[in-house]
Amino acid sequence: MADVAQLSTGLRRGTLEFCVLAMVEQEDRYATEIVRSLGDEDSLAASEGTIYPLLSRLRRAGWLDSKWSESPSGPPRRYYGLTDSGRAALEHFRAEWVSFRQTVDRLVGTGGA
Amino acid sequence: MSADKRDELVAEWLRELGALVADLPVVQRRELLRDLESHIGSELEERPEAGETELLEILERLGEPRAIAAAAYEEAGLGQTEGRAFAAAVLTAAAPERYSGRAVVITPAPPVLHPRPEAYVPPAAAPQAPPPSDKPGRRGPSAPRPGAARGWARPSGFHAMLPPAPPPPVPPRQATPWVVAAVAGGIFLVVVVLVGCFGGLMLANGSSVEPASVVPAAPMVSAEVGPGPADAPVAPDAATTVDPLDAEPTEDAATVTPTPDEPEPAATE
Repeated sequence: MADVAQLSTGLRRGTLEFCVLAMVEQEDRYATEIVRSLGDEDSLAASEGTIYPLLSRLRRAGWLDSKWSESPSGPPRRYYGLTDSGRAALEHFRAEWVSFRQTVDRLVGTGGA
Repeated sequence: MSADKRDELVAEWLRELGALVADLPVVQRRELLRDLESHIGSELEERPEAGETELLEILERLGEPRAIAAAAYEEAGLGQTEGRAFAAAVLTAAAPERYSGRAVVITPAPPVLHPRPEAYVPPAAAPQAPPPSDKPGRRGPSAPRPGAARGWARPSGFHAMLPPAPPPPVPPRQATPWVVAAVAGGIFLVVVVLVGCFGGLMLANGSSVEPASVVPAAPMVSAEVGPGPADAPVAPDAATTVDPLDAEPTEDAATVTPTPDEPEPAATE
């Protein structure tokens, strides 16, 4: 059963960050919304807390920028937006991913599903 | 659940996580803890009447502190350190035991979130306010907050969590020195017994070896070698009977014969 976990971990490792980038492509979003949406996806198998380090890394890499917004009755909340280099990285991933996915589908026989 | 108890539970959870990520660079560590603290606060803010169940649910969705710590080490790129091995071990060992299909847990035990009765008194630290900025123009908070009963202005246990230093990380392996000591002690005792038996056999070489002759010999040898198990009263007796090894003068000198034909040590008593 550890193999199952390892597989999803491996698949996730290269792709989850681009899912994050895509989430803020159209508009800035609060961190809580990002992690909630991704955490809700069962097949991603990522608990909400594990996405926060990813957000930080993407910010350090310059693909996301973040601001804090003061809330009237709650703690300050962080919200993220896509930078230009983040946008470019997302576009690049899209091209790579489609070709990669098509190749794998063809090789393992899941194409056309 | 009272607000104080809730704060205490959250602070404890954050402390637990803080201990696990102690090897992160300090800025990243603080950032992670702050992000999570803000997350929990926001989630609780949306449910003004949140009790322990809701709080536990929030923490459960965040995931096991160990999984979060593993992700933090991995994202920090700690390749050569313990953090990386820790992350790999956690991520591969985390079997498909999941809470609600989201959190990745390490053990089948329920979350270790029992609020202890200890009195956690948060120091009256002012909330750390980041540079205020405008609300995002395009998207506001997802849910309107109809008159939240509890304001956030008071210095709560949340913010007080960050300034104090977290406790040092608990070393994962503590049993090893004891195991080693126990094994060494066992080996020592076995060696002592074997040498004693061997010595007794040599002394009673050729003649019928009574079991009684072996027993005194063992404590005798152990008294000679060093700490023996409560054999001080026995040692003088043994010394009077068969003792070519340490040749102690005794009262019954006549009974001490250096020849190996001495069969009955007990008879001399």
